[in-house]
Amino acid sequence: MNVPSEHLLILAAILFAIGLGGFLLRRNVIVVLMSIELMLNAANLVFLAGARQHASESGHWLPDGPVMVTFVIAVAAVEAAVGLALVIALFRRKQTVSLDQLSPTSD
Amino acid sequence: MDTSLVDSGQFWPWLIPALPLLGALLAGGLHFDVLRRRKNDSDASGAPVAAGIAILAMAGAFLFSLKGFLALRAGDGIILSTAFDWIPTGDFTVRWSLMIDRLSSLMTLVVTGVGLLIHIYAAGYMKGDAGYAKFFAYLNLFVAMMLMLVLSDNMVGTFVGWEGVGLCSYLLIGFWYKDGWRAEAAQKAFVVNRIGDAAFLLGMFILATTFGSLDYSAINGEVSLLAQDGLPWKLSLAALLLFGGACGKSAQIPLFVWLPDAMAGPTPVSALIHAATMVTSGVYLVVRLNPLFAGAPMVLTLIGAVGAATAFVAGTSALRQRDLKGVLAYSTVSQLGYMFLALGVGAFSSAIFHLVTHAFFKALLFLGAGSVIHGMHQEQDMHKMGGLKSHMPKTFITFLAGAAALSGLPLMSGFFSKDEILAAAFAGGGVSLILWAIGLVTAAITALYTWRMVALVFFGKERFDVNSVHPHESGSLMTTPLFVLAILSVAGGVLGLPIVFHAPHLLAEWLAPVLEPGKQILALANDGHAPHLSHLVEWILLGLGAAIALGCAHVAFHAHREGTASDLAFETKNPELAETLSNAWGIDRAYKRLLVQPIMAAAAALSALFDLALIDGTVNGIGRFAERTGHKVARQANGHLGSYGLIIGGAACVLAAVWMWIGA
Repeated sequence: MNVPSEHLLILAAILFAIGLGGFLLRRNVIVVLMSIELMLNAANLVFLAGARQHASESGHWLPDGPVMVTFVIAVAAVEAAVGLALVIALFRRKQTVSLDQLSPTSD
Repeated sequence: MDTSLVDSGQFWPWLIPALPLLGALLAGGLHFDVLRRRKNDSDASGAPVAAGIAILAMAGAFLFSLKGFLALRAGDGIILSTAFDWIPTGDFTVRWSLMIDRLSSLMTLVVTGVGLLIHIYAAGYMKGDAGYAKFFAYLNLFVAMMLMLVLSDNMVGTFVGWEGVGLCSYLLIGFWYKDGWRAEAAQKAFVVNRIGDAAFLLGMFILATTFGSLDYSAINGEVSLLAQDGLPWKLSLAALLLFGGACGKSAQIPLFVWLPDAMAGPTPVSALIHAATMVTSGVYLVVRLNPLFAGAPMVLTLIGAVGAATAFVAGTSALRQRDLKGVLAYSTVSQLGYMFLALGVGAFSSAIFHLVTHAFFKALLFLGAGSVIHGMHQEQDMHKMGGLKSHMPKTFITFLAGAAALSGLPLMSGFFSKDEILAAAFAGGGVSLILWAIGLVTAAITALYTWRMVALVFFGKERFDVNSVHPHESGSLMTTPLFVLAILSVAGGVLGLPIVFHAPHLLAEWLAPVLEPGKQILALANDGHAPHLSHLVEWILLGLGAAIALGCAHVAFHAHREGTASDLAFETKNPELAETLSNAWGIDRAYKRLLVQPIMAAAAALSALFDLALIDGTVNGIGRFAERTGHKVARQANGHLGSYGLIIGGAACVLAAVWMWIGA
């Protein structure tokens, strides 16, 4: 069970690309938020891969990578909570979750 | 000498310049009050009380000048009063202090005495003018500055006054600044004076670095010591530069062009500033530093030559002026030339004598001219006057006295002072004889233009519309000063009677202590001999002067008493000559073509290149760049989250690329 770091990085890149594509192309606010989540987790994967790589090369663990990941997860949770609350509030006012109709310049 | 330089510890000398300064402040305050009232009442005019304040200040200054004069007569050598150390820097200290000696005392008497009369006259002349209070504020400020100029015991204080009178001259020439040409004349006077002032400053720097002091007593004392074996060239250069400053202020060639234009100011200003006081400060400066100039014979020769040339050029120009004040202006330049001619031949006391008599009779003539202009409803063209003697008898009588003094008719003040200068030039021999000849010719010209003026203005038929213009005599406020000045013009000669009259030369004896150092240096250069004339030669010279003055006066008077015919005949016969003469030999026009216009063109080119292209281009370019970029950036803010994300992502990629490239 020894996955090379390159594979992890490629997976992270794929996840990030999917997230970026969803963020740029989708119109549904909820999907956009989910895409952001995906990009954040791609970044987390890079952090952990880096930490593991460093440990295998130097022989000891550095806490930096996992600590950063913990921060990102915490912030992402908060963001998701606030973001979803906003989306719900928006939906109550405008009866839509489409970005095209929510943009200030589109009405 | 040293004992007399101890500070007297007295305060009253300061009142001489301080009273007019105070008057200027009060009158200025009144003017602001008028301006405030004018907001509600557009017709509110000058407070008449301003004239009273100004006249009182002048009277006070005159009384204290008199006190100084009497103190000196009672035996005080020099009255020195120091207020404080103004610029103390190590070895070099400039004090803020006044010195009343025999020369400055005489000057204060002339400035405050003639000034007082002109102030009284102006109270009548300027009546009803919107800027009445402002006028007296300026006039009093001028007198304060002029007194500072003559009373300061060091050159820095004199320079303060020198600049101050220049400023007041500018303000008063442009007093009616709403006429553009008057404002331009004021600017011209200021700029031309600045050229001379720059030379004055440079000369002062040389003296300061050489002697480490700018006190007159120190400079004169050390120059007298140095002069034993000839002055170093540096001091001659200083003398030359100071003469440059005197040229500017006293309207000598090549810097005389501002004075004829300065007639744009109100006539009392022309009388006070541009005839009696300010324009003579160059003469005062040379006399004040007489050892320095006496020790620089080359400069002295140049001064004489410049003075003679100025006297002649300006005199011939005065012959062809049609403007009454124009004649008097060129005549003033010409008479100032006489004074410098006297300085050039080392006759310092004669220069001061002519300065004093000229202050009397030229102030009188200007005030008389003002009275005529007033009576003729602002008409200044002599060809449109004539026959005024019956309309304005008081002005006529006093003007006649002034004209007689100016043209040097026998026994008048101008006769004695002019003949003294000519005699000194004659006695000098050598090159001075040329100066004497030019001076004699100029004396003839003076008589010609003076009596042409008198004949055109007061005699012959009225050449104006008698139905619309009713010439009237001016009020007693204006005529009283005329009579006082007329008496002084006629009798002023007693100050300096020629030796052959076997009477004491009061003025020369009075000034002797001040002029002694310069005289000794001059005598040194002449192997100890002062130039001397026998009584017979003196009598011949006096007779010659009298004959020329009388003859030319007679010719000019009879040529012009019947009207303008002889003027017009001259103009049709020699149109080019008449044109050249009336424009001061085209010197002013040459300046305009050779100096003013090239400088203006260069300024326009520089302004186009640097101001418009470089500075404006840069500033506007930055503005336009910011504007254009802003427009482009603003277009990106379209409200689509996707496009923002693209920009953020793109920017992150660019940053990452840059970071990787630098890291590698």
